[in-house]
Amino acid sequence: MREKIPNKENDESITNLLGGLRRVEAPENFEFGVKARIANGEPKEAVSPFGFLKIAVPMAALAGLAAFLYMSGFMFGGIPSVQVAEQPTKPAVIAAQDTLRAETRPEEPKEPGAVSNERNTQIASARTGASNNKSRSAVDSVKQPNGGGSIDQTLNPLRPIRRVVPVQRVLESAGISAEFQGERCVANSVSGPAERLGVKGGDIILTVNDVPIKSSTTFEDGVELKSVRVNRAGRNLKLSF
Amino acid sequence: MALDMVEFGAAGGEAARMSEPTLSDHELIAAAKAGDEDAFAEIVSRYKNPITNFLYRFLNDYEEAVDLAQETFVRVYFALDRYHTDFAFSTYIYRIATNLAISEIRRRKRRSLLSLTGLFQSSDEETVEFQPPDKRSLQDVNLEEDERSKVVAKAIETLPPKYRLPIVLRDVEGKSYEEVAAILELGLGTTKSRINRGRGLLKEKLRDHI
Repeated sequence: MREKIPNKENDESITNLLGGLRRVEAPENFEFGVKARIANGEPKEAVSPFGFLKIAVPMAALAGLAAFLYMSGFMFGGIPSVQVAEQPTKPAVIAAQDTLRAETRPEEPKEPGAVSNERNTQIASARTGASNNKSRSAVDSVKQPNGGGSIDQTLNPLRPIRRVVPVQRVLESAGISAEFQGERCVANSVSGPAERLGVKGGDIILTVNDVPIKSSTTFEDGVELKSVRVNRAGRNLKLSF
Repeated sequence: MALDMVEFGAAGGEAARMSEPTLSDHELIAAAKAGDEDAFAEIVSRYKNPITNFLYRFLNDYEEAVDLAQETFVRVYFALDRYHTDFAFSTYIYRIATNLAISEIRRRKRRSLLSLTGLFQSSDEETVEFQPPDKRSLQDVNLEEDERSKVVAKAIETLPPKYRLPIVLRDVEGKSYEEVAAILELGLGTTKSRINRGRGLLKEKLRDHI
């Protein structure tokens, strides 16, 4: 029997209206139709022409998301080798750069075979550890002495590459020709702005722009020499432009 | 199963059954499971009109309603072995009819989309099934409906299926709230809520006829 919903006085009118609809009956051939269908066998579910979308759409969405994350990693600093290029204290980087500079420096001749062997060693060591960031950076540095990454640049041409140079390059730009004796940076000859500043040959360079100097120290390419602290005959002097 | 084995509704079976006391649905199902085709014929005879009426009021299309009602019994027949008597057979058969009706609504939507694009044509539409002529024409059925009934039927058809189903089951078929909830596999509260909401929507549509 029909139930009444409390507090719904208008429901009764709808219920009466719907309940008053004439009931239709099955046609006389109804049983025949059922029998014929049963004789045809068990019905099979119709396959929707868009059924594949149930799988394809989520897969496409996932692929799109993965591609976005991958590309955003490229665009916003997800490449580890570029970070290595910004960490100039890696010995492999400096070793490779020193090797290349030694090749181009006429006043410090080296045996060609030795240079070649050293360079080959750097490349070989880099190749043996493909997943090693230090080695990869060394390979890039050997290819581009200014510290650039040809692989990185190929993969992401939009990203600016920050190149690093050894401290000698910064000193040379101010007129100081220096070399390392162990970890001591000694000025050999001085000319130009550095000479006017008061730097003299034989000075031991302690800091450049307040950065303590070691053989592995590098600076961003294009940096200007603003101040230098030297040790001259046991006395520390700070000279600034 | 071979066609000759599905000779339910035979005169001999009916005559024999006339003298027997009325069997319950579960007893008929048990007999049908055991291979008694007359028992299945009795099931069809018992439910063909309610199911056809339910589907007709839901779809507002007599041909589709008859087609899906027949399909409902075919599904019941092939699922006899899987049927459990945990709940009423009427709930079971209405649930099958409901699922078929929902599939039909989705197919209609798809069909209308495809007819707009004109790119595909459903293979179902190409199948022509032989049916002996029905003595009652569809036109007669339609003509018998008075104008008011047509308006009400149209109003029901415009309801979203989630409201239309419980409304038809409750107010047209006269099922209890518990039965409607069981057929639609919804909670009792949800069922009542949808029925009330459906009635509210219908009331707005039929304001001039109440």
